[in-house]
Amino acid sequence: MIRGAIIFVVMVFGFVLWQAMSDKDHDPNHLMIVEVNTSPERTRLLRDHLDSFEAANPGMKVDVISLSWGQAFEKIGMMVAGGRVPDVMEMPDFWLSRYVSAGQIADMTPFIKKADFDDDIEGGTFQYGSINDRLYTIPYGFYLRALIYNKRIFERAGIEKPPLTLQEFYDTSAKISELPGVTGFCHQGGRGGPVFYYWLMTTMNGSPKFFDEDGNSTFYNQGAIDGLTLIRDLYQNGYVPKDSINWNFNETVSGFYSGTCAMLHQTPDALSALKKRMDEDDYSSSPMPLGPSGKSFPHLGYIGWSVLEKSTKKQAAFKLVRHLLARENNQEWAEGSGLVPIYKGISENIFAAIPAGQGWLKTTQDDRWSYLINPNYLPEIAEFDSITVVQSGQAMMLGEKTPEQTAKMWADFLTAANKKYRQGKDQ
Amino acid sequence: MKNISINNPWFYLAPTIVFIVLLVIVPLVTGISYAFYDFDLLSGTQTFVGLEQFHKIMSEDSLFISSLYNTLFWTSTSLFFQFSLGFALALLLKDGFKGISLIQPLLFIPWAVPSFLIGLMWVWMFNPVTGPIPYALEAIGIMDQPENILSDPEHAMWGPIVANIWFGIPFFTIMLLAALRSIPDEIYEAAKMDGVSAFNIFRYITVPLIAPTILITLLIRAIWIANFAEIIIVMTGGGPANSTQIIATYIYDTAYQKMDFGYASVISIALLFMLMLYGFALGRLRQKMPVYV
Repeated sequence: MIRGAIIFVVMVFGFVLWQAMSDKDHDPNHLMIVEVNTSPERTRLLRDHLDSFEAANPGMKVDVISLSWGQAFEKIGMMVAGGRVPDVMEMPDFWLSRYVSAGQIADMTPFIKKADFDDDIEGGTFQYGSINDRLYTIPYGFYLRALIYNKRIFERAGIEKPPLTLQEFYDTSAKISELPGVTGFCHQGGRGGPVFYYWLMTTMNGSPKFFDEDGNSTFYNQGAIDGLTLIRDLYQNGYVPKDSINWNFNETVSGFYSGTCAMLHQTPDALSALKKRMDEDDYSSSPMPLGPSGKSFPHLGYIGWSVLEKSTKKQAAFKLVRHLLARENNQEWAEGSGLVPIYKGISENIFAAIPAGQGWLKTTQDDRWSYLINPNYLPEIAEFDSITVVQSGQAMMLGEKTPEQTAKMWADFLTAANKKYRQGKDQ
Repeated sequence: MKNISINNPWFYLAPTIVFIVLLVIVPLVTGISYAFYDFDLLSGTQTFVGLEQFHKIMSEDSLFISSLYNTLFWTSTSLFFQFSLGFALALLLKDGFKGISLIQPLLFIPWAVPSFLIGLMWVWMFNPVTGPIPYALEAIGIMDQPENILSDPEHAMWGPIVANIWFGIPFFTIMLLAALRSIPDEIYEAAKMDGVSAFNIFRYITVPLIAPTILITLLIRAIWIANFAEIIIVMTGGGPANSTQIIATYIYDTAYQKMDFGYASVISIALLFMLMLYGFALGRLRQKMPVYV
C-alpha cells in the first residue's frame, strides 16, 4: 500500500518534471493560441484554420487552449502571472488596456500593415485596436448593435413600422405594453447591458464622444441625464419586463422569442438563437432610433487577436494572426460567431442575404448612424462596464438613485480615469 | 546532532509540521501580505501601501457593510433550513420504512450536483418564461402575478438561499443519520420501559447524544456557506443593485473583475477574522457540554 503510494507520487513528479523539461515554449515552430470562449463548433472552426496554417507552413505546429468565457479573464491572468505565456490570444476590447498597461501585449505596428489585407477592410479596424497610435490587437469582428423587433406583436398593437426616433421608441414601447402580457422593450439590466445606456446617453447628447475637450465626461450633460430618465421611465411605467433588471444575454433573447417583449437591442449573434425558435418572417431589424440631433450612435464592440509581449516566437505569431484574418477565414469565422466581419464586402453580403439583416445593413451604409466606441484605452473600463454601471444602473431603475445622481457618479468615475490616463500619457 | 535522535518527540512531529507550514501557513501569510500592497496581477507590480486599504474598508466602504449584513442573512437562513430539514429527514430515515433502500440514494443526489449547474438550474426555475416556481407562488397567493423573484431587490436573496437549501440538506442528513444510528438501541428500550414519552426521549436522549455532531456540522457548514459564492454569482451576480452581494462574491468581484488583489485580500482577512470568532465561540460551547458515553 505505502509502496504503491510512493511509486504513484514519484510517477506524478516525474511526469511534471518531464513536461517542464520538454520545453515546448522554446521550440520556435510550436505556437500556443488561447481562445476565450468555447463551443464545439467554434473550436472546430478555429482548429480548421490552424490546420490550414500548419499546412501552409510546413513544420509549424499550433496548440489551442480553449477557455470558457466566464473564467477566461482570471485564467489568462493566472497563466501570465505564472509565466506560462501563450503566443496569441483572443482579445475583447475592454480587456485591452489592462493588458497593454501591464506591458503584456506586443506592439504590432511595425509588423502588420493595413496593406497586408484586402482594400475593403473596415476603415477603423486598425484604429480600434490601437492605444496611443500603437497597434496592439486586430479585431476579427464587430459586435454592432441594432434593434430587432417582433413583427407579429407590432401588427397586434397596430404599429406599422419600427421606431425611427427615440420619441417613437418610447411611444412604441408604451403602445405595445397595452397588450396583455407583453411589454415593449427587452432591457438587459445585467452584465453586457451597459452599452445600452451609453448609446442612449450619447445619442441624446448628439455626439459619440465620451469626453469633452477638457477631458471631462459627457455623461453628466443634460442630454445624457435625459437619456437615463427615458429608460428609467420605461422601466417604472412597466414598458419593459420587471425582471429584465438583471437579465443577461440569454434572458433577453428568450424574452424576445417567447413574446414577453417586442424589441431587442442586440448584436447579430442573437440572430442565430432566434432563427432556431422563430419563423424568419416574424421578426426583422432596424437601426437604433435617432436622437434629437437626427443622429444615432449604436455601440460597436470588437474582439480580436493579440500577440503576447513575452512570446519568444513573435514573427510566427504575427504570421498566424495574418492568416486568421485573411478574407476567406474571416468570412467563415464571422458567419460562425455571428459577428460583423471586418471586410465590408463580406458584411454586406451576409446582412443583405437574411431578412433580419436590414438593421445592420442600413447602420453600416447610412450617414445618420455612426459608431460609438468605448474608451477602451482606460484601464478602469472593464470595472466600469461590468460592475459600476450594472449595479448602479439597477439601483437607478429601482428608484433608489435618480438619473441625475447616477449620471454624476458615472461621469465622475470616467473623468477621474481619463485624467489619470492623460497624466500618464504626458509624462 | 544529539537532538536529532529517535527519542526526540520533534522527530516524529516534523513531517506534520513541515506539511502544515508548507500547505497552510505559507499560503496564508502570502495571502495576508497582499493586503498591504496595491497588487496588479497582470503586470506583477506591487506597491507597498501599508494600512491604507484597511482604513478604506473601515471608513468608506458602504458596500462592505451591506454585504456583511447580506452574508449574515444568507448564512443564518440557509443554515437554519438546511439543518432543520436535514435533521427531519435523518429522523425519518433512521427508523426506516418500506422502499427506503430505493429512496435513500435519491435523497443524496443534490449533494453530487456541481454548484454552477445548481445555480443555472434554479435560475431557469425562477424565470417565469421557463420555470414553474413563479406560477406556483402565484397559485398559492404569495405573488400577485408570476414574477421573477431574482429581480426584486427585496426578495432576491431568497432565490440563491432556496437553491442552497436544496443543495445542503443531504449533508446534514448524512452526518446526522450516522450519528443517530450510533446511539445504542438499549438506551431507547430502557427509556420505553420506564414509560418516557416520545418527546422526552427525543429531548433527553437523542439530542444530547448527537449534540457534538450537531455542533461540529453547524460549524463546518456555516463556514462553508459564508464562503460559498458560486450559486450567487451564477444566479444574480450580486444584483439587482447589490442586494445579493455577500462578502464572498464581493471578494470575487474585487479580485477577478477589478483585478484588485490587494483589496480583495483585505476583505478576505475581515471575513477570516469573523469566521474565526464564530468558530472559537462554538468551540467554547462544545467544551462546556457534558460528555456522555
